Amino acid sequence: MNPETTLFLVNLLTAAVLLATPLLLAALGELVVEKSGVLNLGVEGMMLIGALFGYIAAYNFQTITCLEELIPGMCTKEQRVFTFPDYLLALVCAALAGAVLAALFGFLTQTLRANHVAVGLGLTILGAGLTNSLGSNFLGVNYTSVQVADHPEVFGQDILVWFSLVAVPVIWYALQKTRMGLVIRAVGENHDSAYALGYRVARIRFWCILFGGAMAGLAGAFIVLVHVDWKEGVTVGKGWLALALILFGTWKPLRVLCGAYIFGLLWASELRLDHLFPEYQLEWKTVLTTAPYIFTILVLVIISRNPRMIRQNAPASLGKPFNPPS
Amino acid sequence: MSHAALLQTHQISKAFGPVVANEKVDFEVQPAQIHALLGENGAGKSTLMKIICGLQQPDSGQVYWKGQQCTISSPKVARAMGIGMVHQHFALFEGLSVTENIAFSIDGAVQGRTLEDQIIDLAERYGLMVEPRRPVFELSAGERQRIEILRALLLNPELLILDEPTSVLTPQEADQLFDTVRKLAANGHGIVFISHKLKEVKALCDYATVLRGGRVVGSFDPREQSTESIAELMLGSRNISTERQHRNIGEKRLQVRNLSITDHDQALHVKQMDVHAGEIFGVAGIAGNGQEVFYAGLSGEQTTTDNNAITINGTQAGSLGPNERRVLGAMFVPEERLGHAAVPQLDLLDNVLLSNISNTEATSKGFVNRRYLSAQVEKITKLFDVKHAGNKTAARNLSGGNLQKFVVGREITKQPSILIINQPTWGVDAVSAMRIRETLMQLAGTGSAIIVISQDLDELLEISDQLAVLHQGTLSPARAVQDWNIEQLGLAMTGSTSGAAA
Repeated sequence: MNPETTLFLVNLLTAAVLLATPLLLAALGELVVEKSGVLNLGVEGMMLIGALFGYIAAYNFQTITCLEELIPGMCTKEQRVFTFPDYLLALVCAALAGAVLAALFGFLTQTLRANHVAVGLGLTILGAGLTNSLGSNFLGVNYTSVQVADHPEVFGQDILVWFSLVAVPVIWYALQKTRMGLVIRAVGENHDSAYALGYRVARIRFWCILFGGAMAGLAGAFIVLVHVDWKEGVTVGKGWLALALILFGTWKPLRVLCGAYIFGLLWASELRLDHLFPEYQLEWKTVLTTAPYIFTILVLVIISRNPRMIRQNAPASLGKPFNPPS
Repeated sequence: MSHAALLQTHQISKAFGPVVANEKVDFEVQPAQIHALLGENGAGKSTLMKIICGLQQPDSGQVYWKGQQCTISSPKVARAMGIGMVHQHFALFEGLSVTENIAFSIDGAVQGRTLEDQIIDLAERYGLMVEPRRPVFELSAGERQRIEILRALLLNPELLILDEPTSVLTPQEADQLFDTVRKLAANGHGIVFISHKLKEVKALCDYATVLRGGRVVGSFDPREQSTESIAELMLGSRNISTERQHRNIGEKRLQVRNLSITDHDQALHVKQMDVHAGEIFGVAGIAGNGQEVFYAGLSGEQTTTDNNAITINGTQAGSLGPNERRVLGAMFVPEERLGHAAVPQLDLLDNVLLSNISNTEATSKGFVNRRYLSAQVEKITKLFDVKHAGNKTAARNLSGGNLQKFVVGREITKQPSILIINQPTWGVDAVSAMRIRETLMQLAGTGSAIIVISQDLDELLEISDQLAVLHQGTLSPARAVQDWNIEQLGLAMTGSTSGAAA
């Protein structure tokens, strides 16, 4: 392999990881939410809120040290350092912001028993509108003008990448092997029976919704802190793709992981088409851009031909209204 | 008392409003006994079991557990005491595996592999073969029931209540269940076996208590009694009134020949059935013997490819749907008022429209004639004294009795040439029920052919001209109501003979 090809492949894979990670984070969160029987279509909105608040937090938390003070009381040369603790703090803010928006969804759907789909769509619109107005001051602002090299990384990757990868087996284990997971799945499967057996359906679902919101918030933060700077609609529909990814992965964490990286790889190659096929650029671009969506549709067609697969993995009460007998 | 019963109820009474469900019931189960609890629908069996399981509290009377008086305040208390129940309708989680289902409902006392081992252990001991890792949605009714039984057994009950356990089973599965029950009894468990099927009871149980109208009317060893005498005890001595209004029986309106359909795993076979103008044709049977599929087959909700199987007013209609059958002159009143007969959220006007879609008076050229509809609502509510708050009342806001009068009235006011009605007076107060029965007879008097499916035998005996019995999806040959006697009816309803008693 010549060095040029090696470099190209490394770049391609790095880009794939960057693109796949937010998708994976958001999808894993929503997977838990859906397993508990709740359909939250507001992933995109929660990601946007998480992205903006993560960005604002990162901007405010960077450590500023004054290097030169020519006029007393006024710093003329400063050093901005974005340290690892600062970064973690920003992530926590992003997760909290996502969870707060999710709590609104939880309150409306679980306490007031509003329609999941309507509230979820509303959440996305709210998230987009809110971040557009609140985030207008941060357009074009670089949260860390100096320290790109200092970006906290572990083994060459951002910690969120590792976090998302570790989350896959953890969520699988929690859902399949622990009592908590059993309760979540049972509630998503048949809320009436679970209620009759004495489980607090709305409360269990509320916690799942909060978890989903926090994960979506982290996904948004990853995009603006690791990938690109804040801009309006920075998540570019990744929240919707995360929803499709759950269907793609038939509610299984490992398949969701595979799906996320397939999507990531497809986008990454789309961006490097000039290099791959200098002569067929436009046609291939179209194909590759639509590939994730065509893939999803194909997989859905295949799944729907196999009712057993759906029955086994899809939560039977997904999105259905729950009215406990009073 | 040196030899205390496992469970004893003393003079238990329970009433729901004016309805007395249990009246001074004495009931006793010994260890290692298989005790049958017999009775018609509404005889008070469920109420008694709910009291024993802690789901309901008796108004008066005492419960003794191993000779000690006790209060069973909740199902949890009952479970802790050692009372287990296997319900008729399973509350299982379809997407979860067998083990997970069991783990979820036993409060996490045991986990993972140990639980799986315990399940396999118990399953082997009692011949309840299950595969612990399979998801429940793949399992048959019999396998699901085994999960319910295992679930109950894991809590080590001393008394196990089986509520109509064979109603969902194939004969082979039922035989397996009987083996299990015998093994349980041999190990000292007391068993309460609720059933309608006398043959089973005679084969399996060593004691029986019969309830009728909330009272104990007999307790005995079923092996020493004839099926006939037990059936008569269950149904009571009723007079078949031979006196009835003379009605002119006209031409054949509905003919059914060799109709075989399956709906929701329920099979239906009707060899021959003829209903004439001016005739009321009663279909008796204990709940769950194919009434739903029978109704679906006649109403066209479930069609058959054999177009000749059903003839409505001379037209072959086997493959026609409900609206096409309505055009031929047949009208239908299903059992379930909310959701089947009427759309709960829609108002009365729209609900009248729904069964009048093919009526040219109600709709023409795609437009709805609201004046006609509101006149219809007026007519129906007046005729049946339906209490409502105007045409705009949503159907769900009507009480059960009022809504039933409304949906019956909706069809009757159209002077149907054939009316098929399922459980016309279920859950309706006595006065309204009488009103509905009178109207049905009047309607027959004006020349309609009426088919009444009912679990209320008294009702059928009162209004029917012809009577047939539905048992496990098979309709017996019809006979004039005077030609039946109560013993034969009881035998046919409990399946003790094939079809009509010879």
